[in-house]
Amino acid sequence: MRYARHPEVLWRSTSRGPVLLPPSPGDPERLGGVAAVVWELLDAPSTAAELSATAEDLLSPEAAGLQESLDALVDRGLLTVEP
Amino acid sequence: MIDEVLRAVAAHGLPGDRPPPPEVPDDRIEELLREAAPEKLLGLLDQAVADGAVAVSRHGAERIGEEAVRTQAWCLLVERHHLEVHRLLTDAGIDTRFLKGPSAAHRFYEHPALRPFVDVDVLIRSADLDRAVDLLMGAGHTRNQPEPVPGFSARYGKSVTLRSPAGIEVDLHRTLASGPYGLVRPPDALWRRTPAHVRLGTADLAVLDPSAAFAHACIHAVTGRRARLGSLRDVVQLAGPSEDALKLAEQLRAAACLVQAARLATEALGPPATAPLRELEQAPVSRRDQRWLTLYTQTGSYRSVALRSASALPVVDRPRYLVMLARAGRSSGVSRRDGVDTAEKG
Repeated sequence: MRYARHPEVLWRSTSRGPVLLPPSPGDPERLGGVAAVVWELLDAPSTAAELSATAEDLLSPEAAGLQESLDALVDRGLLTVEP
Repeated sequence: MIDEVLRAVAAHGLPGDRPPPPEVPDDRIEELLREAAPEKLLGLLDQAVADGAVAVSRHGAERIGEEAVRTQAWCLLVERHHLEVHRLLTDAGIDTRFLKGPSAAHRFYEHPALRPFVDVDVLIRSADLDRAVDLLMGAGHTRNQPEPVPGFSARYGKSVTLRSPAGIEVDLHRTLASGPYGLVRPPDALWRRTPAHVRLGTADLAVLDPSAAFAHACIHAVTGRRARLGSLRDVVQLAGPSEDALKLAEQLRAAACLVQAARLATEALGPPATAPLRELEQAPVSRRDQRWLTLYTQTGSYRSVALRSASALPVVDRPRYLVMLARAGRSSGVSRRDGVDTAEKG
């Protein structure tokens, strides 16, 4: 499965993590931790394995949370999943 | 000291050597944030601190980061409102060119957070102004200022400002400037140019092409009471080959704005990094343009500024303008948008 940023989610980078705004009526929210790293890395659709490999250095202490973060972002409609 | 830091922040990331600004102690952080916000520098400040170009304590960095998050959250809400305005106007067949804001942030900066904005600015044709106002009001917006006299805004005003139910301001622009540079010639030359587009979410918004956007950045920077650092950074950031922009500015009779903006940008941010700005700086400015440019920096009532701007109009149009101003004086008055802006936004 390939994960991608939802095309209708508007967002910005900040020093404290990306700030996202889903389509109306959602409110802005800041991502932190693994979710922030995942979001920043998803410039192009990627699999969990590709993300893990790319972010090995960044995520190694928390790598176990990668799939959970992806699932949570999908559940909240911030990421899309392609087979 | 804060001024020195703000200038360094405004120039952050530009080519050239500049001395590092002094460290900002914790007891000056709130002052720095207060001063940076109206200059539209919170995005660059957050980046400069993250890059180590502005020295602050860990506490200071956290405060600046928090403020950057808050600023970007508002920007995103405003950006989403651009989509609503785009939908309303295009569904009604009204041609648009979105100005400043996302149009600059997404196209000309390394990432859009570096260029925050606070409202929606969109250029429409004079003939569409009243209909666009009605459309937005029908969608729940309220008009900030009533029409001074019927027909004034569509003929002589710079823009009409409305406010969404969520408090987001929408400026429907008829021209790029208030005062003489807004009156001297209608912006027909802008409408003859092929628009560029900026993608927001899944929508493509029509925006000014890069040369026109640069010309507008220059006009915007010098037609407020004071050139804000963020506006001057736009001048540098948007500067491309100047020939096309200068040709357009001449068509708008606003070439002096480009010259003045290049000079002010150099004064504030340091030596120009690009050849176009160096060339522009050297160009002459006529006495008439010097007078007009000075008019924007003078204090005075909006009415007096509006009256002194009348000389920019074709002779045949002046009596009607003056009569409308007089009638406006007997009714609700003339807003700053009809005279000279004091508050720069976008």
